[in-house]
Amino acid sequence: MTELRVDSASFKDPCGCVYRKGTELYRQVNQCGREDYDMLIASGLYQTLAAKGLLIDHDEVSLINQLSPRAYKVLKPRPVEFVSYPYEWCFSQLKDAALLTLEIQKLALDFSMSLKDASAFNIQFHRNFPILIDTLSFECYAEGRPWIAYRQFCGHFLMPLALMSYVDVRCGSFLSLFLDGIPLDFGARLLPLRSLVSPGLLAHIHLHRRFQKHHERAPAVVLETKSMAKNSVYALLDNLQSTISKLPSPRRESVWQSYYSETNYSAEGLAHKERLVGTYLDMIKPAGCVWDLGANTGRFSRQTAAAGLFTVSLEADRTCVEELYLACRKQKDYSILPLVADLTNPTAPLGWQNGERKSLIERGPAELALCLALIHHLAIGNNVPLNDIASFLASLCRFLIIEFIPKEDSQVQRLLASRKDIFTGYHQTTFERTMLERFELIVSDPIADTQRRLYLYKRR
Amino acid sequence: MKRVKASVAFLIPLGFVLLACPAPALAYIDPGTGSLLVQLLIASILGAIFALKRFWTRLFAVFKNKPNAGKDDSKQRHNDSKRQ
Repeated sequence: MTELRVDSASFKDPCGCVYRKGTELYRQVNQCGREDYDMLIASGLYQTLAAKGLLIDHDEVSLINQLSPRAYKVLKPRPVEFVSYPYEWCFSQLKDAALLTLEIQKLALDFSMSLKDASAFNIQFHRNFPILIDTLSFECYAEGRPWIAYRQFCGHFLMPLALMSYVDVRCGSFLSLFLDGIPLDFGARLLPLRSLVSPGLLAHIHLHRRFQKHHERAPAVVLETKSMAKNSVYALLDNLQSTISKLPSPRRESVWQSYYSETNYSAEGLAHKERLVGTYLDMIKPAGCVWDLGANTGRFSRQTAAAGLFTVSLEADRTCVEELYLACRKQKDYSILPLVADLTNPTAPLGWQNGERKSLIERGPAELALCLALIHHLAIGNNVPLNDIASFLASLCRFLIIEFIPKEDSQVQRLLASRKDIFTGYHQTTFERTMLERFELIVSDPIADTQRRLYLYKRR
Repeated sequence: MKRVKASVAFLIPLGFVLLACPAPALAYIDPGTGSLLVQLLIASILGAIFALKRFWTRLFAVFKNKPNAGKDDSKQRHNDSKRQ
């Protein structure tokens, strides 16, 4: 008997849930979601959204796979390559996800349906495009009904985008503190006065939070007498679309953006490193996902992607992630998923029982990890002992390509320039000995024109 | 100037709020009382502006002898978003 495991994030909507049977992913539609699901299919909305690539497509499968007797249908959705979360997205990724949600809601209204929630967690990136993964987010539209998910949309999308745009791009991390959207009273206080000049932000954030405060204790029953014309819902969505589209891109200079141009690599050294990475890829022929740790603007992610490997580019600097995302979209490179992740503080498990949103490590292991020009930042920049680094890397991947940067290297010297050298164990021999406790060495080579060395390891 | 005008437009009082047929607003997520009320206000103003704009566009089209120029474009606005 194959074990059924309900997804730990799938408990809020009584109309259905997501679960796994073995390794297969299923979504059950409960009897109470019957009317809405049937309308989604019969109206042609599902076909339209799936054909446009806006909603994840699925197959209806036998009820033998059901989770409980409440099942009306069992769906088998197409899985996405890698599950990511809004706090791991750069500004443009969150903006594209917001515009997708509005586009879907407009289309749904055309088919007399409506989105009953607008959670950013319902969006995933598939081939670098945002896509709605929650097939049960639709309900039949009742004439005169306001958009139920308006508050959620403002907290999940508009508020964080406004903060990233007007205050600081790092405000995107607030989404990991406030999983049900950034509270408007909190966010509005951080926005500068000039945000009042934007009619959209004035209405959807500043006026909105005043209403929220004023009606905090108002009885909900009053709402049952309120209604709004469908035309007004379209107008509201149009206005949200235009407000979000006009948000200025956050401009923040980052030292990491110019990393490649300011390193001590000669053209020959960099080319040799690329050749070595190519040779190592040919040797192991990875059969799964690649994680590029500390990817910067994705120079080596592009190399693995060019080899046909789906690559998750993890980088702590939001400006670099933004640059890589926009470049990938422009160049139609769909094999790279750039995400914000600080390896000294990897994404933690969050939400109810710490199980709703998975940690970075739980979403692994990767078939191959690239750890290039990174170890000195972990060992010297963050004081992590080599043994702990090896143990962390072993939890992330099966194969590892890692570059060791000795103390004599100018980049390490820069890190040590203003502090005492307490890193007596940071040497190539110690590194090699430590790594061998958890990995077996396949091959290693010096990188031309540098004092650095590249290693290919396989986890024991 | 255009922005100031648009901002002032949001301060037009509740006269624009359209109160039509009652419809229950129940959902599995909390829509929030204040959020629903502000939505009614904003959407009503925007809806009125949208309707006025459409009226003038149609009227203008009549004088220009282009009967289809003011046609609702809500069905066409998604056509350019088809993915690869």
